[in-house]
Amino acid sequence: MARPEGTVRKSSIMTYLNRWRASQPDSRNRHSGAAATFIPAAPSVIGFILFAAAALCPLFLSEFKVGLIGLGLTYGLFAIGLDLAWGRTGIISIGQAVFFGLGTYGVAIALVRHGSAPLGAAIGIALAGILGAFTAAVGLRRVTNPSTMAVLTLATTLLAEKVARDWWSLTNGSSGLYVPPLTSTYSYYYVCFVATAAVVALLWLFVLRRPLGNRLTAIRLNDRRAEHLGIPIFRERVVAFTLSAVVSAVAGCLSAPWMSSVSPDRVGILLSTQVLVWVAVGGRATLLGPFVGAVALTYGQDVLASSMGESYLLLLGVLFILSVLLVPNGVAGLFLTGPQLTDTTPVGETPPPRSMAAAGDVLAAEAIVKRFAGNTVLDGVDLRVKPREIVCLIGPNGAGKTTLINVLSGAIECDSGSVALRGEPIERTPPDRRVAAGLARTFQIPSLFPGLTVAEHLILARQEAGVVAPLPEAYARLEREHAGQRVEMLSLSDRRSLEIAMALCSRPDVLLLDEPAAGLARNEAGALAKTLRALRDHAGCAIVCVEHDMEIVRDLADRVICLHHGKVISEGTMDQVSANAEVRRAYLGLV
Amino acid sequence: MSGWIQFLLDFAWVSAGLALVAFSLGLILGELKIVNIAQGDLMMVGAYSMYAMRELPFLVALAATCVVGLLLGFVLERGVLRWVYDKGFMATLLATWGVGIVLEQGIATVFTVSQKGIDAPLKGLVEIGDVVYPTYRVVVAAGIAVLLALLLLFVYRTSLGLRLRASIDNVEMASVLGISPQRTFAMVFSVATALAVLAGALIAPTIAINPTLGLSFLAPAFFAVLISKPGSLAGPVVGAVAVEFTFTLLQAYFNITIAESVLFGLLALFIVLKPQGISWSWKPAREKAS
Repeated sequence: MARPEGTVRKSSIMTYLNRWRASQPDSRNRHSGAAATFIPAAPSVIGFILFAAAALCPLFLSEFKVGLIGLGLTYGLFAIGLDLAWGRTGIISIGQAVFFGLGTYGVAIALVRHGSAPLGAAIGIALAGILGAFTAAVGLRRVTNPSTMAVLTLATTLLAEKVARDWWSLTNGSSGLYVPPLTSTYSYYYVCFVATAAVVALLWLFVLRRPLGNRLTAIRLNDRRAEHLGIPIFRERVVAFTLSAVVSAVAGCLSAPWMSSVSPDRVGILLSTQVLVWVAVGGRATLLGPFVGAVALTYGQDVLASSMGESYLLLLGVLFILSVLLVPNGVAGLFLTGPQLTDTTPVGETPPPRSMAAAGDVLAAEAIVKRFAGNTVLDGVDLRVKPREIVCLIGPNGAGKTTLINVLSGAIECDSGSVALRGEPIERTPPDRRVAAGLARTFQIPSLFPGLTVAEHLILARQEAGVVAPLPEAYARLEREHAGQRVEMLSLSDRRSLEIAMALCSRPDVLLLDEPAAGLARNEAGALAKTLRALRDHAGCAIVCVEHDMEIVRDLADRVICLHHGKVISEGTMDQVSANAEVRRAYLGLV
Repeated sequence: MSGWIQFLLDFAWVSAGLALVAFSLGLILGELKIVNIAQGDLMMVGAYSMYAMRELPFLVALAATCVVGLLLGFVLERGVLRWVYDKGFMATLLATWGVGIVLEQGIATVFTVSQKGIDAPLKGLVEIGDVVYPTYRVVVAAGIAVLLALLLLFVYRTSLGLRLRASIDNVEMASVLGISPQRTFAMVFSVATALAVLAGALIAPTIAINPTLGLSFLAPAFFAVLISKPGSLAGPVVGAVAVEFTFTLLQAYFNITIAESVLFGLLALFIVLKPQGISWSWKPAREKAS
């Protein structure tokens, strides 16, 4: 799929703030404004104050305290690294210290051997990136259990600690490597400060405020929906995790000179635990939260550990449980409620519609078989859809209608059979690439991104489409009237419409709808057939629609297909199908 | 010959302990859908409970420790976990993570971090073939094998076990059929906790007791669960045996850290090839199909 890189509006902090100001008086003018209305001035002000405090603190504090805050800053960057995976993308990592420790050891080994520290840092960061990419590639595939990543990262940190302890010649075992003391705490503090600020600024400008940042948020909020919008979730997760490993390793490199000795606990489970606590307490998916958490708790640890000893960690554990239970968004989450997405709506001319091959089927499925644990749900189903045709799938409960939609959209793979879109075989293609090829879908229960507004949903859909396709009137009205509303506040019919609108943004050749009328009020359902026919005429796509309401089917369908026990038992016009004796038996339950 | 007997005895001893822990872990993951990072710390609590009651007769202390485990599980489920079920996979994982930290640090505060030890109740040695092996380990390994056999029989051959499996398979459907999720969750977590605590208690006489002793069991126990099909209860037991067999074999050729690294590499390879795990379950096929 063509990435909308070139067409994306450049976002920087200034344009971002300007847009916020511009959007203040009337937020409903443009969808971009609606996404920005929730930004209060507070985060930028607090951020600026903390930034200034960090920049100026060496003027007021003792050398020891400056060193403590410098270490806190590098820990903050470490936490930002974890946050990229956990807070932004929703990938759990309980062994993040491995990446941090690779950086620390890289620099420490170089320093101890009087080698080049930048070379040591580069090696450490490269190893962290490779290990991160490898771990993610193994643990984050679509078919993998969600607990896999937790186990892999946990095992990595436990193992790394042992390796660091055993590999005497390189790490000096448990006693650790003695890093030569700094010649000037103050000048190294500023090295740390500038490097940390630079990394965060780069992340902000080139990841978080870019389409990639939006994609990561989408994956975190609803990976299934993200995938069916055309986001390659596996690739982006691997990218996010690798990036998270690299940022943590950079932080590790910076931290090495602050430590008198670098010992195996730098890659170990305790530090992995602490960084989770910093992010959880500070606030996930914010820039300030991880820094606030890391600096405050590092500083606090030093102050309290002398008086409390071991029980400081007990306090930390209790704090962690409480923050998970009571403030899941952390301290920063209490104050910062900004938009979660950047407006990346592509600008430029809308290209002409897809060139459609005049003849032939746009979608053709042949002999589809799908079994679940010996239970055959689809038993050799054939389905052919012509361009701009509306096909309705009917059949009693358990006939395999939704499974067929899932097979067509790629949510599940069929055991055998073929699916072709415009003649191209797609049965082994992942869902995101099917979207790019022109196949979009909705779900039986609308699948949206919790916490995002209507406008933000459309930003995502258009970002992935790379163009702004005009919406049919019924859906354009939804965008005009509810742009700033979070999807939880929408009625069911509006949520269904939003899902269809998002699907339409990708300008599909075939739109798969799973029970678009389910749960709608009588009058809403009555209007649906008309709306969908208008949609077909407007967007020029074929529609495959699962529907139970026979009146809607009669008004809507060009052709009706009846499934029963995973087989097509009748096909034709509504009258032909309803006259079929087998269909009557299936619906009336007579065998 | 004696090398093989030695190998089999070592393998039986380590796999028995791990199998019990893995069964408990699989039970929690299956029913509550929670990745319990505190599992190793629950074992640690068991070991310390035995240490605290070292003056009492061993079996009395063991029984009391099981009660401690049941109570601890109940308190944790009602007090912490229950509040995070609806917050998703990540929140539950982090909550158990926090519980682990608190248990570890709580124990460290009460007992200090210095290493402790307790005596085994059976101090003798048995001669098997031409290998001399501690009686305690042989008895405990056999005892755990019997316990696990009984537990699996209970799970797969009783109506209460059927209700449990129904609830693991689909908790909402099971609740419609009158199997209360709240009660099942509390019960399952209590029992699973007691089993992990029991495993820790049984291992206690053979190791140095310290607050982080559970960590070394955590990774292999998760490996055992990960290579079996999600929701299967026999799976983790077989998985534990498979993991320990591989590990014991690797240790015969490499030092322990390299052996662990190789084991980890094998696990990664396994996940790539079999991301859904293997179905070890000995349920008859027709029961699954129906």
